[in-house]
Amino acid sequence: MKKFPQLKTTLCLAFMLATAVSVLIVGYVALNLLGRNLTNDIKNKNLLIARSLASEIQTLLEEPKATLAELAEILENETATASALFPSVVKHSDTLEMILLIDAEGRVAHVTPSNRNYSGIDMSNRRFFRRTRETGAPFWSSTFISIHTGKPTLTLSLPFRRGALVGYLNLDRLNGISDRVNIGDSGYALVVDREGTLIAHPDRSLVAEQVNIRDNPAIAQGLAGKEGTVKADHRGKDQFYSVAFVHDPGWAVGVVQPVSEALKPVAKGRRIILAGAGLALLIGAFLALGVAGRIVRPIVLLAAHTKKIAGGDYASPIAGCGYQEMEKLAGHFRQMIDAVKSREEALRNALGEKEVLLREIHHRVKNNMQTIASLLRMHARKIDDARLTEIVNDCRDRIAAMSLVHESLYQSDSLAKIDFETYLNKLCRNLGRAYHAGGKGVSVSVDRCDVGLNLDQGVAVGLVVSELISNAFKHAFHEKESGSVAINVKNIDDDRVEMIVADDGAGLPADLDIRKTSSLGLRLVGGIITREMGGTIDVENDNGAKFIIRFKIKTE
Amino acid sequence: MLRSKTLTPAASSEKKRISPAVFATIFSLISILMFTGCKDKTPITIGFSGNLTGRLSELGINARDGAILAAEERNKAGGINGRPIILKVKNDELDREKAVQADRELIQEGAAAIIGHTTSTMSIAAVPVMNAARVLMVSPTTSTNKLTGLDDYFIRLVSPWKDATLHLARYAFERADLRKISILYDLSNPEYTRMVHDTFRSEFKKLGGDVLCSKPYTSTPGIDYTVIADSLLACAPDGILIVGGVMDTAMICQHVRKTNATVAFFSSGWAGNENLVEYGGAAVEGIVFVNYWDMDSRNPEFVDFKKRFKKRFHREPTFPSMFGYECAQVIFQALAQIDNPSNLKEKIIETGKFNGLQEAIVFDQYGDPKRTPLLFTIKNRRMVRMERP
Repeated sequence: MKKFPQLKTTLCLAFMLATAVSVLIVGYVALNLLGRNLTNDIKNKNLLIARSLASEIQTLLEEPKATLAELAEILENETATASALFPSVVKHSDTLEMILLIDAEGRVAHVTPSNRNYSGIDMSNRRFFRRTRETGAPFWSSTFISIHTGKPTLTLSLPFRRGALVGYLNLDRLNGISDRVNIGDSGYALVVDREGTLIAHPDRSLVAEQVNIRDNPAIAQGLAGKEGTVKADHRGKDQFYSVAFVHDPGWAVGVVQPVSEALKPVAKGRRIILAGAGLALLIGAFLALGVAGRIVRPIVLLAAHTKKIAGGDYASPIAGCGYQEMEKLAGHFRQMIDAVKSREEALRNALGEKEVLLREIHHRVKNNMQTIASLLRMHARKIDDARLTEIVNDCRDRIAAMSLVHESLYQSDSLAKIDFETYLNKLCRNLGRAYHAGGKGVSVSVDRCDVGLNLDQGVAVGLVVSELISNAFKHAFHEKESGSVAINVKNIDDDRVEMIVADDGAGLPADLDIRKTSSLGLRLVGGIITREMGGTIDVENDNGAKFIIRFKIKTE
Repeated sequence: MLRSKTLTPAASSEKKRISPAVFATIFSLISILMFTGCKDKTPITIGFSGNLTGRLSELGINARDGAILAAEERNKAGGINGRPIILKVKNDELDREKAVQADRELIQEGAAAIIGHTTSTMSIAAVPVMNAARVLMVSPTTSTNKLTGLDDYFIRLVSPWKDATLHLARYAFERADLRKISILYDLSNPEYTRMVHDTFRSEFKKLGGDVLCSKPYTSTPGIDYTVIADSLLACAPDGILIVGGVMDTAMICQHVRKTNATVAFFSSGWAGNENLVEYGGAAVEGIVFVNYWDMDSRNPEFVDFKKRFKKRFHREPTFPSMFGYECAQVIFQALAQIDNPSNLKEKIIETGKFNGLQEAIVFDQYGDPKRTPLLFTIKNRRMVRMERP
């Protein structure tokens, strides 16, 4: 039998699934939107910071540029000397830590602060000098190790006369700008020169060691003048690099923030939504159990009531369970029970009436048959011809046997089946009386009979038994002072019956063929069993005659 | 603890949808791997130790950048047998104790080999640590004779400087026809500079010349080049040999020339790169130095390396850059052929010969290569190669 799922389990799972799927879908959409918006916000915000820093650095660099330009103008137009002007400028400048005046030959004509190592030396091969001479424009150098400090240094060179005015910049000021940037727990800002070498970074050692990060695609993009935010790998971690370009020296400013940190709110949201989904699932499970229980309970009760009603118990009350639909269903069920109950009573009454009528019919049939048998008995007494008397008596016995079936039927509880054992016992008794069996010392007994037969088969089998017993009384015991006839009826499988009628008399002729015998009784037996009932009959001589009859019971 | 920087293989973080074809390829590869056995994909750590800060940091910075380029290129090409390379960089600050500490930390961090140090003094301090740990150190620029002919866990990419110094001494005496020399040497890297000083002095005297004065100094920010120049000239030499870094060599030449002295200049080679021209200006014109690399080499592999280095760092490579790159290449090639990094030294010695960017690198049984020393001078503000000594 196909196994169906339980309604309660199905409802619970459906509730939980609906709850969880809804929460997850809403969460997924919300997280995606949140992540996208947050990423855009962070990118925009960090890029804004980077641009702001770039602008600040540009402004910072304008100061020494303007200072050097002003010094160049003063030296050009006035009588003031470098030694008179430079010291106060260096002293009061945050960015200029040294100024060199280089003549047309490339030699240091003046240095402030005073330093004998620089005085008069040839700087004509220095890149900043050559570029300034070549372009006639201010030039920002890349980082190099300062002879003076031994630290990475940058220079700003302005053309002056045919030489140059060179300012050495203090990188600490740049680092000061980047140090002010605190983004999240570990976000930071950095500055690279146009070669990609770090010139400002929270980790000063990276600047001191002149680490070049041009391989970072975001930095390379920034140095190419393309501002924006790029997600790039750094030491195995994804980072947002927002890069802005510092136009004049060609540097890039980067604002760096680990992606995981930047998207922390999304991760937090994800955890909250997952926890919410879990909680919703739990609440959904509890609600589902409760609601499904309330829905299923009346159905279960209804099923139990239906079972009782099927068993004939109409008295159990059917209650609704607080739902309109269930109340309506219970009401309809109650109406149905009342209808079934009244129809069943009507049927019972009609059936009772018909049963009484049928019993009456059987009773009258039996009476009529007994009247016929009595008439035949009376006629037989007046017939002198023994042969004719025997025929009439045979007819009487047959009618009596049939009458006994009707009697058994109306006397039994069921009109559909005859209690065949009681019938046989009565039949044997009646036949024994009719043939004066007791006087002849012959007994007739029903050893076993545990079958029931309907009217048709009862009449047929009753006739057969009547014929066989009559035949035994007539022929089996002429030469014996006593004898017995035994009947044994049993089921040999579910729907087949074996009936054995045996006597211990003289036995049958050896050449007896029941189909060809002259005995009307035996031919009648053979005809009934084989033709009417589709059964078989075997005849044996086993210390007397033995008839083994097998036939199929009709269920209707 | 020394702070270190780590170079990891760059990875694109861009999310892409996997097409069915790619999925099928991945599935096939996984299947093949399941049948052929999965290979180890854990990263291989390589250390770098060198001086990265201060006036003498040029060697270290350039050697480091050469090693970085090699590691980046190798990782792009799939690493060593599929295993990515992590290059951990530490700064020895030209201090023996910090050098030893850096190496110990790198060994503890699982370095299969260490590229470094960049100065002889630091390398000599580090070798006992490497021997104890049985981890190989491959130096790009160490040339001291004190580490020559030793069966230790130290090999190098440049020949011991003795031969080169002898050639320089002979050139000064025989070809430049000088008889009186003053020698200036930097005590920041004494193992190297003293060796060069002693070798040159001995050979030059043996040839019949005279070393009038030997002046040690220490390269510090407070150094006064005028005083040093004056003290060298006080001996009235025909020529001056400067055994120092590029900046000091350039400045000494500048300050000597400021006095209009016409002495000839010689450099040990430590200062032999293009920055000498930039810092030295006209003063270094004619200076003669010996080196194991040629900036103008036309070897296609070197020309290509120069292009790649310039593209990556936006500057020209110097000799430490090339040797740093070659150090990494030698290590990578040998590691690719062995399963256990502890056999690295034996594998390199056994292999013996590796392709270099300018010439083949041939190691002897002690891991000392035989390179050809080349003489260079500066002419018209360019380094030019002289005849082979």
